[in-house]
Amino acid sequence: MGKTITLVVFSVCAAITGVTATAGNADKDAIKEGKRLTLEYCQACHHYQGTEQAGTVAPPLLGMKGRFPDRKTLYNIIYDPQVAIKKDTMMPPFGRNELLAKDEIEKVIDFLYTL
Amino acid sequence: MIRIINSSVAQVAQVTQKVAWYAIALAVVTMLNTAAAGPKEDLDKYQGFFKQRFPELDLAGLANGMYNFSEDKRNQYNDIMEFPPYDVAVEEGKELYTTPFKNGKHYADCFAQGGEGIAQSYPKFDKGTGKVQTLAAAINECRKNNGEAPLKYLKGNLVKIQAYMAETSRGKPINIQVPDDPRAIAAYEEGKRIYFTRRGPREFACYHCHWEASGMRIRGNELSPAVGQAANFPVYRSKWGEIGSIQRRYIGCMRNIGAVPLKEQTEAMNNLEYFHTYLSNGVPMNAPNSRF
Ligand code: HEC
Ligand code: HEC
Repeated sequence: MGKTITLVVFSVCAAITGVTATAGNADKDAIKEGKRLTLEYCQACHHYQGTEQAGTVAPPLLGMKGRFPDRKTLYNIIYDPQVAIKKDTMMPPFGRNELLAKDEIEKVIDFLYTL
Repeated sequence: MIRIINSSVAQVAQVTQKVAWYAIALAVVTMLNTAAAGPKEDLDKYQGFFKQRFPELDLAGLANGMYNFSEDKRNQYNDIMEFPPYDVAVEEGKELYTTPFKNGKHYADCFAQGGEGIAQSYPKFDKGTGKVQTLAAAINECRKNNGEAPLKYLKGNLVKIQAYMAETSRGKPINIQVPDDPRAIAAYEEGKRIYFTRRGPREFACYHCHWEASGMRIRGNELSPAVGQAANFPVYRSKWGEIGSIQRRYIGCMRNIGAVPLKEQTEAMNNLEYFHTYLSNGVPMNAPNSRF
């Protein structure tokens, strides 16, 4: 519950300060491809705007730019959450096991920054 | 466990001498407890986790797995169960079970109690071989001892026989014994290790989906809790269009996560079934069951 509230506060702050607008910097095709990748690889567990059959085992992805202003942090989580989040996480190591290429992770982040 | 012991040793440097001794004493106690911990302590801890997570479900309730978490699916299940789709398999299984071998003997001659009401204690540790024997393997051993060819393991006639045997155990609590024999403990521990080991490119362990994530959804699928699953098998699965064994289901999950599946009836697979079924000790058998 506490976490949900924090998430909401963050996303509201992000919206007010217009941080999310910087997503406009990433090119549209990259965002589109990033979204496609998340629907294939992330929505099984995470809910976020645009998902249709999202899982509930993972926290919702929202207010991403506000919560993760440093791209590198997000990159590390997606690359290997066993290192970046916790050792026994169920989230797959997308980068380390090459489920996603480096440029694909970047596109995923471009999309996450629109959330 | 080792990590916990190490960290209390690490703290020694930062605290006063007196507290340090206390910490060491505590570490030793922890170590002794760890040495003493075995299947029984595991079971209390593991079932305790699920009781706490799902306080509204008793052990029998837990056993209906994924259907506890979605009214839609529960209704669909109830509809299907008006005419249980496994009934035919049970009947065919009974027919197969009671038909004599060429030598005139019966399956019933191979098992205690003529094979009735015993399915809940398999897989079983076999003192003679020092290995775990599944009910499926016991059925094939019976055939072999009577000069009959073995049957295939994952589906078909053997699983129908298992379905019939399970039917005679319906309602009996699962009762897997891990005797105080180092070989039995080793088999149990191997099964446990497999259950908690990550596999495949996504590095999922069974535990990731059927433990802390149980009751939640991966995509559209509610995840069933590890405790209780074994009480339902074999199952008639709409997706299969027939009855299948528990090892067939394990193989399915291993394939789904992109891992190379263990092979049925290998020592590793049987030890996994041993550990996984032991988790359900006390859960009343509700097998065969139906799944979609
Ligand atoms: C199989 C489940 C699963 C999949 C698939 C998955 N995640 Fe996760 N993710 C988790 C879980 C669970 C957590 C929470 C950390 C934990 O408890 O392990 C998490 C945490 C996160 C976090 C940190 C969230 C926060 O609020 O702190 C981010 C960011 C994230 N995931 C992004 C992604 C992206 C992007 C993808 C796809 C490329 C993805 N995840 C795919 C399970 C998953
Ligand atoms: C990525 C998630 C995931 C992993 C990892 C996973 N499973 Fe499953 N499992 C599922 C889903 C989804 C189902 C179908 C819904 C349900 O019954 O939980 C399922 C069903 C089952 C069932 C049938 C339960 C029933 O009552 O019908 C068994 C048994 C099972 N899994 C065992 C295992 C074992 C053993 C492993 C490890 C080798 C494993 N699973 C790994 C997702 C997973």
